Amino acid sequence: MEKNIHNIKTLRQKVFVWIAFALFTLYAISLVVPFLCVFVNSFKLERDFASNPLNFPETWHFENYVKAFTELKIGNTNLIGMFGNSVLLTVIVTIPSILFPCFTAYVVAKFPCRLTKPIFYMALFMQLIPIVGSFPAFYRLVVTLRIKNNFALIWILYASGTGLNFFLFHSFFQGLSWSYAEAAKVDGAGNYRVLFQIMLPQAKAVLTALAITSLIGNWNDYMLPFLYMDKHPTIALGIYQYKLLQTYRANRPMLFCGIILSIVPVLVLFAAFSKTIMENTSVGGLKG
Amino acid sequence: MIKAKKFKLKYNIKDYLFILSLIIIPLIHFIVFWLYVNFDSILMAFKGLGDDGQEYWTLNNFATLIKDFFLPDSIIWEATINTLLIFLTGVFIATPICLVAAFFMLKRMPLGNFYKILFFLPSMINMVAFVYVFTYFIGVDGPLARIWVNLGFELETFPVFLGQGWAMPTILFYNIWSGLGFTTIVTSSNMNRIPTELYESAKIDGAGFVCEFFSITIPLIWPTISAMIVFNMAGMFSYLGPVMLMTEGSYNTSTIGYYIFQNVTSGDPKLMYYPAALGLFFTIIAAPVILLTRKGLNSFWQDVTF
Repeated sequence: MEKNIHNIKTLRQKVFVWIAFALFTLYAISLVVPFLCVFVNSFKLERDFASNPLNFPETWHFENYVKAFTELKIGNTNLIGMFGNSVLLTVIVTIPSILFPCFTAYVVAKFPCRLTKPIFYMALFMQLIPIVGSFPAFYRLVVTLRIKNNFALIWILYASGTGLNFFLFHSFFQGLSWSYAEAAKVDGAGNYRVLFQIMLPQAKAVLTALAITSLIGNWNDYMLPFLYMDKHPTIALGIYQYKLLQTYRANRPMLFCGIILSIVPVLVLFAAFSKTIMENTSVGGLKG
Repeated sequence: MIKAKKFKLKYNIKDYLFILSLIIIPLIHFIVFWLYVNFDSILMAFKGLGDDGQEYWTLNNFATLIKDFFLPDSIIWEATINTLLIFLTGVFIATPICLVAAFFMLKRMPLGNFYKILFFLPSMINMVAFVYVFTYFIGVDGPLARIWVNLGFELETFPVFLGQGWAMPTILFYNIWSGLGFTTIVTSSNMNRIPTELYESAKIDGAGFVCEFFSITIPLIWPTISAMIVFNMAGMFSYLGPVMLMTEGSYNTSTIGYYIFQNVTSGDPKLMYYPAALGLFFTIIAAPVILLTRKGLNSFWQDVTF
């Protein structure tokens, strides 16, 4: 019954929906065609590409993708190195960016008191009010603390307990019943046991969903590597730097291979977890 | 009435130690990277760097700022106007398009599920790749230019989209085009939460699309829309990605965020102080504006739980 209520009945409404469909299709084509062009051109050699970007390749140089791993280089780091940097950096920064908001949200939601209540309002304030111009001070502090280009310390920049993840965890933990915890406490369980053996297992779905979206976001991030990990370029940063080199020695098909290869891991992850990822977006619409 | 004991703690010591153990690292992070950084940033606004490498107190930064605001050609004006344009096109062009598009996704449009996934994908792709695919496509050596020539026009007449006059509109277009799909999906899944009984009773009363849209859909998802607008307002000052990737600020495309970024990453420590002053100025202006906007937007429709 529910599904039928949005079924369109009148001819006028049908026309509107079909117009909307046509516009959606145009938009979809505009999204797909540029990527198809890049994909097709990635199989050309530079000289073939320069002469005509619209043609299909006369010879499909599949070996471009193999060559890209060694030839797409920034300094001493080739594409394999960039993949390695991407994996390492992504894992290192995703873990704190999930755990710390989770723990902070847990204490704010489940232990409301004068110590924890201000945290929520501070988090809200930090989300709403832009502190413009703190970047110069922030940057020079990161350099002073020797966090720049340091895999062992870069996680510190992600050790904040606030941010969007905090609010998502907070609303989750608020809705979680405390009765299991009470029962466990009666049996003598301490706070840590309650957290790790009762509460967190129930948060598995939220943790997984946020971990995946954070992983993807951090994999795609080029700003942090650009600012603080420029000596260990990740893929996104590598493509940016390689594009800058194009003014000196153009090899656009190689750049296109890099672009396609940078997208593939994320598409695979998306294909595997599309439902989790997409369901998480509806939570992203926070109220007030 | 017995007065509540004033000094009774809500929890016992063990609980407080537990709370502290969980938040100690985020707390240190907050003190160092938010409290200290913002404090240092305010101080930097009133400082400069001498040739001897020593900092000195000065009001020069603010003097320059005031001067720049009286020069309509200054980069500060350019950056301010561009930043505002980013925000305004987002609110007045992109948001309405997304709302209408999301509404039609509700209406069981053909291929709805396929489009849902397709529109979601751009948000999965790194911005560098996305921007470069876009700039290649609209570039003078790209497919669009080739089609232009094949249609009989001269290559010289093909607009240089990342050149003088076109660059900022191109960036604005990219903004809207790249974000349309994802925002539509998020809005659509919020619209899905509206109980269908409301639409049923509206249909019985003879309501058409327009009536449903303005009387049911918009009011009920208004909290999400207003939250989006406020977050966009807060975020517009840090907008710099497409500017950095497409034009590096040339052809009058600088934004406040990009201007600050450019100065900080220039490698010259003397250039760090003016952006701090600029930022302080905008924070002081933006904070009350954002809070007032939030209040104003929230007063439009009462928040209803469903």
